[in-house]
Formats: sequence, structure tokens, C-alpha cells
Amino acid sequence: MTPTFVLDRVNRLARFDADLPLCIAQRWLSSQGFSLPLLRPIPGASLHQLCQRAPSLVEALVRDAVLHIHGDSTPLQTLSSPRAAMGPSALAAAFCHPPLARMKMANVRVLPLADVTSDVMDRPRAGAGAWLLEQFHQRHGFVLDVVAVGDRLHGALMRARTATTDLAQPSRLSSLPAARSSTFHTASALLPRAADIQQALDRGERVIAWPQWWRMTKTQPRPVRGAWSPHPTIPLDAACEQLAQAMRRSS
Amino acid sequence: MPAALSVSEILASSDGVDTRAVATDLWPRRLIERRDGIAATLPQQVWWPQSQAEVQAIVHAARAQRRPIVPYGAGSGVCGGISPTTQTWVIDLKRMDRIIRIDPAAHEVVVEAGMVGDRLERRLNEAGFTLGHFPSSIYSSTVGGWFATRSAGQLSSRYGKIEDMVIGVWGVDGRGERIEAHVDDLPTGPGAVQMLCGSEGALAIVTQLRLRIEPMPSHRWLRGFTASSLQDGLTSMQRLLQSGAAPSVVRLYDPLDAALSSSHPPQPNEPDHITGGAIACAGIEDSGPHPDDETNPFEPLLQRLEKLMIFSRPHASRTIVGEALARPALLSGLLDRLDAKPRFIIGLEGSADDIHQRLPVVRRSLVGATDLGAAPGERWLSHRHRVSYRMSKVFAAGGWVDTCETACGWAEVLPLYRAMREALRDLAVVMCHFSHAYIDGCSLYFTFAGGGTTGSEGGPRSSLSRYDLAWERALLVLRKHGAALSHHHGIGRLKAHVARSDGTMTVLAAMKRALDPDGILNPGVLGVGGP
Repeated sequence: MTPTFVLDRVNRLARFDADLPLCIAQRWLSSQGFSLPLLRPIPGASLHQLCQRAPSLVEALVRDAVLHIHGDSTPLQTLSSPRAAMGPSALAAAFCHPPLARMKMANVRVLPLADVTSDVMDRPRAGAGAWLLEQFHQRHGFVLDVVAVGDRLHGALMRARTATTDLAQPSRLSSLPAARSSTFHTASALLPRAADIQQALDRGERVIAWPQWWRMTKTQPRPVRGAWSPHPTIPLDAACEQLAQAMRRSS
Repeated sequence: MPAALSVSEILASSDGVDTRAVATDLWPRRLIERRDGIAATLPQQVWWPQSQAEVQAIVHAARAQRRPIVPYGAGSGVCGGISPTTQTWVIDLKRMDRIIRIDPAAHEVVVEAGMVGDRLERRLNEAGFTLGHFPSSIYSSTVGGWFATRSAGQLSSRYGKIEDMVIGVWGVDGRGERIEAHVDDLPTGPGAVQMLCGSEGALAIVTQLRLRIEPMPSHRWLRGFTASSLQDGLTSMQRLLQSGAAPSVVRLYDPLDAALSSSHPPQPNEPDHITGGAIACAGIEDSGPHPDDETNPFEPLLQRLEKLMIFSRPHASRTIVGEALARPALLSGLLDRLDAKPRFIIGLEGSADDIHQRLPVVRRSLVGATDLGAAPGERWLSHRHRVSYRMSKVFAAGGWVDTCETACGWAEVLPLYRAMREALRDLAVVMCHFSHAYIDGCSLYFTFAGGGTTGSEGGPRSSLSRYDLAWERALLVLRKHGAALSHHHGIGRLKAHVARSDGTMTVLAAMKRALDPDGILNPGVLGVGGP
């Protein structure tokens, strides 16, 4: 079956199936002159899988979604506004532990290729955290994706073409090292700090940050003992009870 | 687990003086009722706990007696989040106002929920940081209240809303048990924080928050512009947000809102002033409540109407204002003839170099704009927190004022703006500003003022009936245009009947069953539990 895509150029949103591999979504978006706010290599995972593994990115990447609650055939449409104050976020709820719903379709924030370009950054790892954020602000960045290999930092910055800073190097996105592991874990909300980034680089983690949406995540080089792994969706009341218990345990 | 404390050790009062003080928030409907002689329902008791353990003890006792509990911050909510019955216990959290720690290395602050906003910001400023959260109610709202309603501040374009700042939360659920969630918490995942955020006291009583803080930027740039039309103004906002220039402030005032504020001549040749000091902290000390200041956007309108009266008798001007507001279509028609252009305030923060880099991008984003120089921006900065303190004159004049804030995608903004003005035209004078802008849309902040007969008799021409009808129409317009019922004020009881039908409330209702099985936490708010 041909996947369904809908592009909203004004609001910079692309609607597609959450189970579709992101590489297919990216191919279609490229043909329309747009891109996912992710730097290459685009994960082979679907949007749903990416959000499960990197739940701190969900509210940045996805504006709204159709969710399915286990055992309930009625689809649940989350709020279709950039932000709202209408109670707890149903979108975030879909990616709690355990998840309270499953994402089926989503409006994903995308960037027009005509307006963005990417800079590859290659420099010593030491002191890179502060330097990266400085570069981000000076070059009107949208997405930062960095990883350290040994003592070198390899990264890329997706930024506005309107930025006045000249490129230090031509774009060579294909040289960005591949994602090393699919074990994501969350980092801070709000603007990523230089220290967050430096610490992650020192640990060999890959950092994906979207400071314009106040979110970042890290991927670990190898699975961590006790780290969360994707849960299946279970009946809503049971999932809520488990989540409430987890909140009590945390305390 | 039984609470260790006995409630008899906790400060409480059933005295009418104390219970009256926490019987309502600033929901304008309650202000109309009060003016018209309709008595407020007083809660049975108010408690002033000083610790999470004391909150637990109160919840245990309330649960045993099946009493509703309403958490209370500083009472500046405007949606009826505080609406007790005669059986309700109100838990006033303002004695829980300690900063537990400021961690400069981790850029975090841990603060109790009852801390009032400006006090927190001043303490952070002393340490060289800012939270970046500046709601106009900053002097009369608490950190817990911000979290409960998903509050937004004036610099949200740079720092985000409160849900973007919170990285951890502690509270007490409806079973009287401690709960906790953090964005870096493996057992719950980051989504748990967002499940509690915006729950308006229906899922837990929040006692403490862990928030991300930012070093204060060293410089600022503020500038005013007029737009040739509202469409051009909105296009400029959209281009600016999508340019990557990351402004701290972007505010666009519609022609009426612009006409009622101070005028500024064009300053096309005025050089850019990049000033030392962040927007974030400027004005906190200076812009507190001033009794003689122009605070309410309708205040200049009141003053102009008063000046038109040549043969005024004492209080007659107020009567005329009240009469005028009772004929909003006529008043709107007159105001529409004012020759005013939409007005912008744009602000950047950062190092001087950083701001210089971004200025050309800002200017390239603007369409049909006329430069007004730095004065409008600096004036806004010095007056920005004065808006919340002067509703009373309009109410005293027999009128009423309320605000309706929403958000939608860029394509829907102008149709929604026009539809709202048209829908309320015979009930209220409507003005609007556009702020809290994002890459994919922005918030619309409508202020509307109307009138009607006063007194407790009621009837279709009464202020209360017209107020309710205005809101009924406003909510219909929001629904029809797919806009949020609220961007940062919350739902309370004002919008609960509409929110109740939203599919996402299925998730909230299930979470309430898990955390508050007896339904004692603020029943009815957000449309879950209660009547």
C-alpha cells in the first residue's frame, strides 16, 4: 500500500504514518524540498520507534498525533496547536513507561531545504560543548547532532541559510559517522547546556539537540544495565496504575 | 503508608476572614458575582502546611472524611481553578516557599511550590541566573501555580513555557502518598513529568519542583515597529521565527490594542542600541504594582471617555463608561475608525556580537514595517508586569473584562482573529495581541470588555449572562478553528464543559483513577471528576 503523506508548507508540518521507516519519509520529503529535522544518517527506525527510544524529543519532533489506546478502537487526536494548556500532555503520555497509548499517525515538524543548510564540524573533543552551543546560536541553528570518536568531535549543525556567518567548511553530511547504537536515553528539557553536551561526548554518547524546541537526547554507545527498553502498549487503566506505582517508587 | 504527622499540629483556620481569602481565584466571573452581591461559597477550612509531610497528613485526613481538596498558590488564576464547596479543604502552599538549592554547575534550581515568582527570579539573578519565566502575574503567582496551569512567560520564544523548564517534580497524590518524576528518571520516563504538568491539582498536590535555569545574557536589543497591516505583521512574525534568529520577545498588537497604547513617531535613522543587561531580569525591581499607572489595556479607553465628559458629575463618567461597554457594537464601530496600525515589539538577548549577527536576519524578516526605534521596546520592558493589577475600574464602572488566550498554526491565525471579533461584536469590545510565537504557529491573546445590568437579579441583559454568552461563543470559535482552548491560562471550570468532550481527557481520567481513586483532588477542574 502506498504510504500517505500530507505536507503543510505554511506551518512546516508533514503528516505520515508513525510506523513508516523514517528513511522513506525523508526520501519523500526531499522530493518535496523538505527534510526531517534530523541529520543523516536518518535512523532506520520508524517515528514511533524513535519516539519510544528518545521520548524527550517527542514534543519537539511531533506537533500532534493520532493515538490508539489499547483495546479502544476510537482513535485519539492530540491537540493540533503548537502549544496548549489543556491539562497533561497526551502526546507525552504515549511515551511514558509504560506507554499509555500507541502513535499511529503524526504531524511532524519539518524544515524546507531551501532555507537550511548543514555544517560539518570536525575538531578536538576538549572544550567542544561550549563551542558547539556558541556555533549553534551564531549560525541560527535548528538541529545539532554530534558524536566524539576518540579525541575528535564529529558533528553537524543544521542551520538557517540566512545566517551571516560563512561556512568554515563545505557541507559534507555523508562524512558524519553513523549512529553507533539505538540505545537512546533522555537528557535535559529546555536548552541543552554546554556541560550536558561535553559530558555526553566524553562518554562517547551521540547528542541530538533541538534547542529551538528546548529538547535534547543522547544515544549511548552500548545498552546500559537497567536502561529502559520499549514496552508494549497495555490496557490504559493498567498502564496508568503502573505509572502511578513508578512515581511512588521513585519517591 | 500512614502519615507520621497529626493534622492537629498543622496551622489551619475555619474563620470566615481566612476562608474568604482563598474562596476564589481571579476568575472574572467571580469578580462580577462579587460586585453584583452574589456571595462566594466558602470552603470549610484552609490549611497552611510547611512541608510535604504536612501535606500528606492533610490529604490522609481529607481522604478519611471524603473531603474535596483544592491546592492554592497565590490565587491569580483566571479560569476558576479554585472553586470550593462548603465541604472543601483548601491547602494554601505559600508557606512552602524555600529554595532548596541552586546548583550553578548543573544549571538547576530546586524550589518549593509556594514560592512567588518575582522572589525566585530575584534570588536567581543574585546568583547570575534567570529562570526566563515572566508571566505578567509574576508578583502574584507561584511556581506551583505555573506548573499546574502550563504557564507561559513573556520571553517564551527564547526560554520556552514552564513545561520546557521543569525537569523534576515532587508531590502528594490523592492517596496521601509521595510521588516523584524526573525527565531523566528511568522507571517513569520523561513523559511522567509532562503527565503531571498542567493537571491543575487534579492528579497531585505539587510540593516541589526542579527547574532548569540559564545564565543571564549580557546584552539586549529591543525595537518597536509598525506593520502596514495585520497580515504583514503576522507574515513578519512567521518569517522571523522560521529564520532561526531566536528572538526573546516578539509581540504584535492589533490596531485597537496599538491605538490605546502610547504613540511613538517613526525613527528610521535611529541606530541600533545594544544595551548591557538582559531583558530577562530588567524591570523586575521597577515594574511592580503602581497605583497610578496605566495597567489595563482598557484603562486608556476609560480615561479618554472620561475626558470627553464636559459636564461631569462625581461618578457620572463611570456610569457612561458602563453604558458604553453595554453597547459594545457601537463602541467597536467607533474604535474601528481609529487610524492605527498594528505594532511590533521585538527583542533579542545574548552577547553583543551574537546580537549583531542576528540583527540583519531580523530586519530581513520584516514585511512592510516602519521602524519606531528603541523607545517602544524599552517602554514595554519597564511596564510589562503592570497589566494584572487594574481590572477593578472597569468592574466598578459596571463592566467586565476577561482574556482568552489560544494558539494555532500560522495559516489559521488571521481567520481565527477575524472570527472571534465578529462572534463577540455585539457582546464585547475585543482587542488582541499575538505573542508566544513558534515555528509552526503562535498564541493569540484576546482581551474583551463588555457590560450589562448589574445586581443579583440576573436576566438575559445582566453582566453575568452576557459574560457567559461571550465565553460560549468564544469557545465555539476556538473549536471551529481547531485552536487550543488555552495556551497558558489553563482550563479550570470555565472551559471544563468543553474540555470534557476532548478525546485526550480519556488519558487524564484514567490517570486520575490511578493517582486519586477517591476523586478528592480538585474535583471538576479540567472536566474530570466532580459535577
